[in-house]
Amino acid sequence: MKGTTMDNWEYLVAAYSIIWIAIAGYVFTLSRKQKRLWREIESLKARMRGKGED
Amino acid sequence: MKESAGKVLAITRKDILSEMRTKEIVTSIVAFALLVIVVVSLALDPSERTSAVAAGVLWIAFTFAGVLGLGRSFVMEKDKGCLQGLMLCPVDRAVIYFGKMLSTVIFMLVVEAIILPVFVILLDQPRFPPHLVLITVLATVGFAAVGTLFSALSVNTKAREVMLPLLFLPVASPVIIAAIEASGLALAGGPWSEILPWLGVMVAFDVIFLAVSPLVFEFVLEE
Amino acid sequence: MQILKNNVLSTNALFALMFVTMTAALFLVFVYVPTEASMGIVQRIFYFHVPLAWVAFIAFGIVFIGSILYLRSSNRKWDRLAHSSAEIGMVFTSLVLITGPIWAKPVWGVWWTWDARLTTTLLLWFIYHGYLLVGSFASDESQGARYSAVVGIIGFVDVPIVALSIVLWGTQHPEPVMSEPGGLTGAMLLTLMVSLAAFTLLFAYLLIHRVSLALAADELKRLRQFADERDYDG
Repeated sequence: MKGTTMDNWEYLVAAYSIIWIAIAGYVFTLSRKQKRLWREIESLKARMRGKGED
Repeated sequence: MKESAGKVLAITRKDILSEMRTKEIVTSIVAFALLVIVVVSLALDPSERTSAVAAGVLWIAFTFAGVLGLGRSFVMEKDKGCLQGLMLCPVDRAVIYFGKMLSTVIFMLVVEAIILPVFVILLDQPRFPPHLVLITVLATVGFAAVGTLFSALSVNTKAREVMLPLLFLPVASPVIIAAIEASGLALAGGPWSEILPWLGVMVAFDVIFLAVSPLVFEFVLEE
Repeated sequence: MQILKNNVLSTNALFALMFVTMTAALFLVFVYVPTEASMGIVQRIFYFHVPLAWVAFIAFGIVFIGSILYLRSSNRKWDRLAHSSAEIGMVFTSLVLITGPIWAKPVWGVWWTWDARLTTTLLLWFIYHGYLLVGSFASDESQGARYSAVVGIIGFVDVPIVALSIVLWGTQHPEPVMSEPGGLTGAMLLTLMVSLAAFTLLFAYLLIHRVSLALAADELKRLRQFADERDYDG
């Protein structure tokens, strides 16, 4: 075991970076799913409107 | 209760009779288990054939042979259209579960009874401890308890050959660990008192999953 | 629309609370808490590693409860809850498995140690990987939901036996244990607790969003089918 405190900070940085990159990545996939959902809702709305005017 | 037991045995009997006609499950799985032992042994130096390593080899063979056998158990029913017939039977789903589980246990025990002495010779073990018999029975019941459920489940999914091991192996890991450790101790000539905690793990696993699996089995066969 | 607005408001409040707690946790971990004597700076991974593991376990507990409720009621929303929780639990479990080795390497000189907790976490990862796989490999949606629920129940029932067998196994094959620093001092305990609160809030926030996304997708699918049928009739 190493007693000094300055020799392994890069492991700490790596661990924290990975945690936040992974969580950001997950949130990103969620937001993409949400965007796709919005697009579908818009297209459905347009379809319904087109139908209604006939 | 007595009536249900009769129906369970009827399903088991059906499986055993059809197996006795073809013998295809037992013979193919025995050959497969032997091949696993041979292939793994090739990776071992003669000096490494200690009791602990031999126990590992044995349970690798039994585990993968078990997965293969479990897979067959429902694949054959499904391919022959028997699963539909079985589901139309006016019996409780738990009866089908216990019937299939029992036949799986019997097939696997036959396979293991053939493999065990061959294993002791091939891996040049000094003794054949009687403990191995009890360990094998407890582990086999545990394998079949969860395996029957997952086998019925994966047979209805896409990529069923992959699905079964991916579901079965992590869930059965306590039995695999306990069987390897207990067999290693037994092959090394350890006393019962050392083996007992591992037998306890397997008994706990068997009891819990024999109680829980039939409860959820009906949702697997529901169509 | 009103429901949607209320939902947005409450998740905004949750987000604010989560943000404040997470910032506090970061401050405590990087600035406030004293460096642990024997392991050095890298021990600070502990304050994120352990809460991630605990929250992942809560997530799998929710999968278990959601699975039971789904099988009892056949109400799709319970499946959506269980599935969403499993997905986030897998993200957290993966992070536990990644940060574990990063912690182990500088302290014990090995990337992986077959320590009881890490090994149990690894097996948990495989069990819930199976859970998510069953849902996507099923032949139709209701079958997928039923099958995943079965795996969600069996998997969670299995956890204590897995843990028991691994602990028993570990006592016979001693490995370096991912020890929590012996006797948490007040400052360390406070940091751990704040971090645990922060990750619990993060989980709750992600879960609410994931579930509402899944429910919205279901609703949209229903509407689309409805529209298709109407177009067909017209």
